[in-house]
Amino acid sequence: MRKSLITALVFVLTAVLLVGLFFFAVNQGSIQVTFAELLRGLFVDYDPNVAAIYDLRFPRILIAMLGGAALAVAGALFQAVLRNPVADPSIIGISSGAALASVLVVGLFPLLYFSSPLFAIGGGLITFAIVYSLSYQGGLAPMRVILVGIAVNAVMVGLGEGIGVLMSGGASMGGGVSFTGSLAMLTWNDVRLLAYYVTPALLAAALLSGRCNLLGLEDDTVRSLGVNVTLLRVMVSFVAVTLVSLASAVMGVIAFLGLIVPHLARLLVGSDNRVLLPYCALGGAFLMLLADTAGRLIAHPFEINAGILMAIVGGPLFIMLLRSRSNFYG
Amino acid sequence: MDKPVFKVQNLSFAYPSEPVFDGISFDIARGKITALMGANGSGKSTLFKLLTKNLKPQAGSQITLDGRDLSSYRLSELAKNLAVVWQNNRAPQDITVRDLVAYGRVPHKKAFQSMTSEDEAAITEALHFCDLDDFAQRRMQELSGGQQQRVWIAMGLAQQTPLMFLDEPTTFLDIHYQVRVLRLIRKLNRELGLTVVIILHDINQSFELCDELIALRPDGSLLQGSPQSLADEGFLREIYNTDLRVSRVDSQVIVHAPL
Repeated sequence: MRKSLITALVFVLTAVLLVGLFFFAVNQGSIQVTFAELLRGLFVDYDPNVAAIYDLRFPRILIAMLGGAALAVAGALFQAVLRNPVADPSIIGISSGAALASVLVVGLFPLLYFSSPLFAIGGGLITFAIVYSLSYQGGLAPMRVILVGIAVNAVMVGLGEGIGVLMSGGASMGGGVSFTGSLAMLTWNDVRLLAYYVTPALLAAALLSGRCNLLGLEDDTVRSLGVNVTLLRVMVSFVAVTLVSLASAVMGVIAFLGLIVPHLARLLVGSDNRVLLPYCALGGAFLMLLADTAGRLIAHPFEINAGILMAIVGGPLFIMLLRSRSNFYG
Repeated sequence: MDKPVFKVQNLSFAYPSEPVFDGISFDIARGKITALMGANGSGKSTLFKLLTKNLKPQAGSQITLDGRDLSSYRLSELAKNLAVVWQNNRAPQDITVRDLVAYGRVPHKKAFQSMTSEDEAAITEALHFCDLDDFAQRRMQELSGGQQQRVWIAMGLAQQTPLMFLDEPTTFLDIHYQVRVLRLIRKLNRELGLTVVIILHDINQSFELCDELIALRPDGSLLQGSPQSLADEGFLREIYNTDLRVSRVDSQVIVHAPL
């Protein structure tokens, strides 16, 4: 019972931090308002400062939170379904596969903008199928998944950058292809796009969380409990790929978030997915918003992409995890 | 005499590279402990998987469980009739014993249904039967191999099936825990009336524990009988292709290998 109290505390504390960070992030930049002005401007009267903040800062903040939640939950799902504590959707190429598909579609058929998430999901699914089938040899050895994933990722990034060059008419800096995620320039349209698709996918993850726990057992054992384990894997993978693809389509590729958050979350709240997944959503929202806000502040007036910051912090952690002998699934 | 639990007729099975069984037939008696014996590669694991519906027999084979074709059972239905304790197991390190045993209730629930007091009672009972009352809130990683094995058996027990299959449940354990696990299995059979089908790597343990032996010859044919009727050097040579000696001490069969 003491454990559930600690878990509840961790949740509350993280939520408080997230809310605090939200108001901090809202107020960082050339326009600043007080908390009272903000509330007044949002809900009571028109205030030009608040309106500017609403149009410019709210979208990126909301996207950071939604996208970060999606990435972290997806990371936890991938780690469960691949039984691999170091599986990160960006390392194994899912993010870049999805980003590639969405860039291609928007570049070639701009009218399909609002259905581009569907194409991103398609790209993510194809990439995942490639990685899964190439690394399956009577089982999924964790290292083989990572190595195959790195190779597939390299191909996807290469294709994306190549196509970017062609689309931007030969300029060497790839046009619309954002392989290092950035949240600058995002609008309310992007928020809606992400919210429409991510919310149901997060709900699906919550519904699956109890069943997800079964993936911590051997497949034979799960089967003898009367559960079709192959179907379960397909469903969990589908939700995970969907979440990553949506986030990558809107934000570009954010590396390591799907690794760091679930890892810390397991230390804080344990590995029961019914608790872990909701906490990952909260923690992912916090970390992504933190990365984006820090990127805005560190070298002001220049901006450092959130994706770059995550890579700098996440890389060493990934190496640490690779070197530690710990295995989350005994 | 009760009708047999399993009736196997004309069972054939082959892996792509090699045939394993060609038309074998046997019954598995209700309420007894039956061991599957055989040398490495004789197909005892294959047989174990065929009977638990983890492999599909070739056309023309017939396996019936309680008078019904095994292939007609849905997975979830089978899990209410037959629990399996596999040799290789894994669990999240921080899961508690009770939470793990609770998975035994999965076959009795719909996907999103929560635990009823009936489920909780079944879990408590299974823990108690396996002598795990004091371990219920401990984490799996804190337990020794022998204690963990009892947890996996308790999980099978929580399924409340009339039948339990166990694949080499003593293999990685020292002798203290081997004996404890074997005693537990006997208790399952004698006190709860479970029909047990078991693979044991130790010949003496098979003779000691089981009421019935099904022994596979290297060619895929089989011999069936009580331990007393099969405790014979000729039989052992046929099964294991090794000269072993059989002694009897106080009517207890002891098999040993002179070097």
